[in-house]
Amino acid sequence: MEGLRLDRREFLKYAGIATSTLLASACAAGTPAPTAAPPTAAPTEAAATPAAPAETPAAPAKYKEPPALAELVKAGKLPPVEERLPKEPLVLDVVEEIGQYGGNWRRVWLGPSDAYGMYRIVGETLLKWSPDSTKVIPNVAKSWEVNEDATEFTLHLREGMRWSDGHPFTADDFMFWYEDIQLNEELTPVKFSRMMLGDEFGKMEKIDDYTVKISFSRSYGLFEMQMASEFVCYAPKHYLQQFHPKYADKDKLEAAIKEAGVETWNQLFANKNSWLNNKELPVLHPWITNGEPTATLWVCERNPYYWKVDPQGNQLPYIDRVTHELLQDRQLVTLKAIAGEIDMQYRHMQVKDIPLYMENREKGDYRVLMWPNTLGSEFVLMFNQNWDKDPVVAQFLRSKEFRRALSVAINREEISKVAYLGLAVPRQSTLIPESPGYNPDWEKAWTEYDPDKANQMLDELGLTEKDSDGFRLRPDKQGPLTIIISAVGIGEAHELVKTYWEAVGIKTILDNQERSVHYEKMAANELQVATWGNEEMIYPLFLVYPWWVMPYGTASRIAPLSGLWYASGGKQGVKPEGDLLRVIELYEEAKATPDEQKRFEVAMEMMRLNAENLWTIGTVVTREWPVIVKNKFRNVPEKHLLGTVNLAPGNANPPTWFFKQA
Amino acid sequence: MLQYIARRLLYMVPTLLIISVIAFAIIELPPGDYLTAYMANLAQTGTQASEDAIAALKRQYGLDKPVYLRYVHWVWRLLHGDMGMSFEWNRPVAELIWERLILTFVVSLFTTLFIWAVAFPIGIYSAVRQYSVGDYIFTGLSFIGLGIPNFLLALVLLWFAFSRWGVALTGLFSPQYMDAPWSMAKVLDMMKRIWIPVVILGTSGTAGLIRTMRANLLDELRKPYVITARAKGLPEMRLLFKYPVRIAINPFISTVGWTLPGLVSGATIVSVVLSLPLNGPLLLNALLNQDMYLAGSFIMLLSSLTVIGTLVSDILLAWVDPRIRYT
Repeated sequence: MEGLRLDRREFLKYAGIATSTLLASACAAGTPAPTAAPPTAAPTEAAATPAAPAETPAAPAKYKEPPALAELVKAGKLPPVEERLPKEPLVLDVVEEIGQYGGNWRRVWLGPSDAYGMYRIVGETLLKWSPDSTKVIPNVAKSWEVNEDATEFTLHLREGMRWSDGHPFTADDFMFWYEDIQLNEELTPVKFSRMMLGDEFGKMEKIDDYTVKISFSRSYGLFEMQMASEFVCYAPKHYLQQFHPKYADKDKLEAAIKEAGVETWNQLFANKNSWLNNKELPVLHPWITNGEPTATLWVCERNPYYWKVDPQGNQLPYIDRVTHELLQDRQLVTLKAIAGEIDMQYRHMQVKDIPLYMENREKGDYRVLMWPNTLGSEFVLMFNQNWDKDPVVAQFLRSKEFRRALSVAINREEISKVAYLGLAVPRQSTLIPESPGYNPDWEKAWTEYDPDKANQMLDELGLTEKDSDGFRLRPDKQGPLTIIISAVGIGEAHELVKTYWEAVGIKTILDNQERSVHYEKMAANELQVATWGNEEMIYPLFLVYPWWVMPYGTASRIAPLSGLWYASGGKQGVKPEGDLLRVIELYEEAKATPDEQKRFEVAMEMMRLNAENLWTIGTVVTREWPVIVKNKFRNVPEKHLLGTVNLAPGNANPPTWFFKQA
Repeated sequence: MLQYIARRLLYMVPTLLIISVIAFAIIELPPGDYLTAYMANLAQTGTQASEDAIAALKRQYGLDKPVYLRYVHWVWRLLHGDMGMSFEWNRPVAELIWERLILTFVVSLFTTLFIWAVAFPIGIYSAVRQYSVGDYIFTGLSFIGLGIPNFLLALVLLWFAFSRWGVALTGLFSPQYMDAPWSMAKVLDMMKRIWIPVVILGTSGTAGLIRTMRANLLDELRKPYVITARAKGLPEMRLLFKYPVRIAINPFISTVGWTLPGLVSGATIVSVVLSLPLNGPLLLNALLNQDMYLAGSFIMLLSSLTVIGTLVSDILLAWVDPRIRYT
């Protein structure tokens, strides 16, 4: 969902159409997949997508490098490949064949606010999700151990691994991140949430140069998955310390602040610690920025110290450079794609453009892959359980029967036809079929279009009297019962839902909100019913991203104030009651327990409560999104689960992708 | 004349001050601020910030201070030539605008030249040969030019180029030159593409100016001094350019001033549609994202240029048209 950031402008501009399509693509831009199953066998069938060559092959004896780097070595400008690689480089298997070096991977983007798309390709997390998103596998750390009650996590690093400037990567870089970045209140007012257990921030210790331990005072069984989910807990100390007052010379730091035109050292530090803007920042990424991201063409070049190899010992990545052309408008992405000027990309591709993509496949010399996503439902209606401006309306928003009645009043087939080219399937927002624990009953519950039944249910709730327009009167007879649907961009789906609800006598108002207004009102608890798309509906990824299934924060529209209550450890907000509180308790249990089986059961109970209560009414979902890949661009899996938490397509190993030369 | 200019310069001070207040107010009008959007994004990425954290961030961005203090702070820095930092791009505003300025300037300059080169002769022709076949054709075309929105024309051209040649004609350079350093080849490459935005942007401007030129000239041509001059046997061409055209040209000159801000901002919507790396889309985004300093400084810059441009126009007019002088 970070995708959203980039998409702000899109929302405003095209807001019209199906919020979710946009959303979808936005997020899609990075969406993940499924299941993490730590060492113990998961209680599940394997999740999602096929592909996924599994375990790490044995490391080859001798290493090879790209010709361009070999020349630098010959010229004495770079140490030989054996010295650049760690003792045990990470070996990535290839989907199709051993690749060839070279080439320029052309992509398009909407500017620096869209950088998350590139991050999903280059980001190197501590651990990562396997290509099929079913389990946690090594990445930066070569191995790890968890103690019995899941309070201590010991990480083993790769000896001889180096930053992109050749400096050794060690436990000191972890401690710098922990002590000098995270624990520095001035620099980091908001601590890294994945390392938070309740209000406790995990403790990190250096055991030796290549061993780090993270510990908590209570069990945190979910932490293993957290470490694979966008988890980066290291920073190049040797470089960044010159901008940190603890290490830097005071006068030099002052001078640097002045020169950069900023006001405080933490602003300077943040600027210097940007992989996007700062060419000098040492990183672990396969490609490093080598230009201004604000220019028309943003160029990233290969990292000569990249620490992964293919099964034959060729240092990765295969592709020399990745370029992003700056487009000002999302519609142009489609034009670029069909003109064959994009080598591989799915970010910003849209379902509604599939006919265009298909039509121009031969002319543009590309193929169109369809990758599954984790959306439970693309267009959902979230009923605010905390709403309190009008007790009569609030009473209905909190009524399970009322929500169910409104759910069966919706004609999902028609929404699919009108707003999604008929490509979307009706379903509630619950676990997707690929997920362990998938339950078709939850998926189908209250999705059958049946206005008669809806009318009957509403009658039974006492809403029997109607005004002259046919709208049901409030029990206190103060005009018709009116529901307000708020959204960032009103689209066809919204209009349809309004007609369905009004057809059963519930007056409905559509409130089109600008994005910041939406968030302001959300935080102020002023939304009755909000629409959005629900992603990460797959076990266990939804545990790492629980916004949609429980009050997790103010962005949980089903109960923003209870979300605040949860996020603040009970200090602020409104304490939830009944099932809403139960679901929070269950989550805490799932988060803590080291027992995989137990976690699965608890998580399923959370999902059952969601299906039962229908705090969120789901409508339809487009199960797969288009991916444009040039025909000569190889090693891209046919299917790959697009999730947020799994950092897709990063877990499909982009460094192994290559251009097949004739 | 000098006194006239000095007085005009003096007037500019309060004008700019008022503009700066209005510019700042406009940016403050929408609810929320950059942090609202930022926190929303943080929330979506799985980080729920506590109230303390939000307060800390507000301090860091200086958003905790009252509006008037922020205004004073902003103006103070502006007076020292510091336009502030862009929240979103995390870079000095001046740098951001500057790096897009040259291309914006080139496109706008070409467009203005194109407009003048086309509108000037056609306007004169239409007036002198009023109600001729040529006049009808040009009049018809210019009404179409006025009637079609620029961005629509841009979209149609893009689609035409794609269906005809299979290329996406976006941007100002072909891919191989995009990140190349400036060279003769790169300039030539740009020339190949620059006509698209120039023609698109030029159409409505051209159409407008043709109409103005024609109307003004027609007014002049009917005046007695023209008839007198003609009666005295002044050659037709000489007569035309020496007097009526010189007067009819006034609207061109009084709009010279407005092209100045245009040179910096570029045409926003067309730039968005054609993906031109100009300043217009930058401003649009800054406004959408409530990137306060970028938007504010940008608006301030454009307003200042408008004021300066108007002054330049007035001076030019006073110089060209003796009737205006020293009033």
